[in-house]
Amino acid sequence: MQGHRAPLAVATPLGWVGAAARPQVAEATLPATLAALIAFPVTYVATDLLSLPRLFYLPLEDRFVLARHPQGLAMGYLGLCLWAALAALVVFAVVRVSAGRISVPMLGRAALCAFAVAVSVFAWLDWPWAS
Amino acid sequence: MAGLAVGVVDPAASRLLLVAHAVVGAVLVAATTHLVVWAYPYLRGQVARHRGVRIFATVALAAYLVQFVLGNLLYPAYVVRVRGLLGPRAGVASDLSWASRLFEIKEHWAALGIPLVAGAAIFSSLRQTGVRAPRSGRAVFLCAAGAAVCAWSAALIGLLVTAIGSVGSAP
Repeated sequence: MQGHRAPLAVATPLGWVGAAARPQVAEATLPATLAALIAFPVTYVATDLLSLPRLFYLPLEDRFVLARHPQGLAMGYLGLCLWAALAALVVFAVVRVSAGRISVPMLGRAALCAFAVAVSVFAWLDWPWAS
Repeated sequence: MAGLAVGVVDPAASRLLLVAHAVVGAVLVAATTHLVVWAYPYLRGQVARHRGVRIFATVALAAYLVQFVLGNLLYPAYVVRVRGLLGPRAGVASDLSWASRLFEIKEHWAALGIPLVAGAAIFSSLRQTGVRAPRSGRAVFLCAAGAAVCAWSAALIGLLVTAIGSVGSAP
């Protein structure tokens, strides 16, 4: 009973045969997502270390400000996440368009390095038992 | 008014948010841990449990986003009510500033887990092309493992700091 099901896509030396559109989507999405995974931690760490202007929430005044070093009690966490997410979305879109020109294994290794560095940076900066 | 300060002005609301934060945190830890276990066969080139991986990845992403929103609603109350109590204070012998710094690490690691869990969901949604694991299979596992580490560390550090000082504590 094969019915009317769409045939599976098959990889050939000349490319995909069958339901070709979906594998092409996957081929483009894989490097784009990996590149976005690099952009998020890099932007997050860079914005914090370089004190780039970002959104701060002032909990006692219940309002947001765009600043480098706001006065008083301020939370820059949301601003960090926002900039990092925007950078990841932009990089995703750019790499999605230019997919096929970037090595996926290289992107994978770079993403691993980016996360390892980001995790280590914040553990080092806020190490609880530092003298 | 941005409205994020609901936990600052209302301790009862912050207690309710904290309980919800704990419950969703348990769901998140469970979903990411299951995702790691179910995605492990990808490393051996097997895709037999792909449907389960997709379900766990979707649940983990949804739980992570809900947890992020709850955490951001609670964070102002933590900053105002708890963080100040953890540093060195006049007349108080114990210095609990290590807990405050540990909590900051937790916040950053939790944020870094967002793209990882989103990546696991995206990679697991990519079409399978046969009985062999897709190229994205390894990426699914690594993203899931990273997200699980972020979720577990956030849960454990959050519980530890809450045991020391909580947003809903009586003044």
